[in-house]
Amino acid sequence: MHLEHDENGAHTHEHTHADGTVHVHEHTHPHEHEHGHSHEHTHADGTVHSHEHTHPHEHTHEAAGCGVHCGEGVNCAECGHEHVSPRQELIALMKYMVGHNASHANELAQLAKQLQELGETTAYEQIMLAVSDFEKGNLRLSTVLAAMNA
Amino acid sequence: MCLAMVYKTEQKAENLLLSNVQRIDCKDGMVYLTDLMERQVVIEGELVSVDLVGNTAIVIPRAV
Repeated sequence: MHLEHDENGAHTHEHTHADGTVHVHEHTHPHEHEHGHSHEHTHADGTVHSHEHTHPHEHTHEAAGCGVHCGEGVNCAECGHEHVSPRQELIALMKYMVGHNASHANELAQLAKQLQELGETTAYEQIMLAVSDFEKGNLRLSTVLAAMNA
Repeated sequence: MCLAMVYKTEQKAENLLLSNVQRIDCKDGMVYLTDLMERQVVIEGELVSVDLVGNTAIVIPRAV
């Protein structure tokens, strides 16, 4: 597992052995490579050995992101990646949620129509009122989002 | 579909691999997690469960 990279390609691997032992390795790839490499490490019982393995995938170290987000234990200064600011990330999340809420409002409206077709008129009316409230709340969120993007 | 929190082995805070995951791809023994900001985490292992209501997924790293 690649957890972190820096501009030199340094990153950590975490993997689990068959006996349940979990290791984290940190090493550097300051060169172009095919992701075939070995790790040498020492077990608790003093045994030293290496693993030869490849990563059958394509990525660049620049493109590979950090495993966790800002504020989740990452030291940004040491990460080496170009990060979006926490504000940008929160705005992106907000944008996603506004769109997501709109989808849910539509789903609720469709559910209400199905109830109407079953003769559940009161339920239909109440749900449509709830959808209206939901949309009003979402409109408020989108207004905040627009103001933050301005 | 909601964004997911992806955990290693079991759902515990210290096992969080990536949050706000918008896409999971599995290929050639690798699990590719991509978050809302297009950051990616690649794990050698297997996607073993996805809870679409709880918005969580579990990945088991491959034993070496």
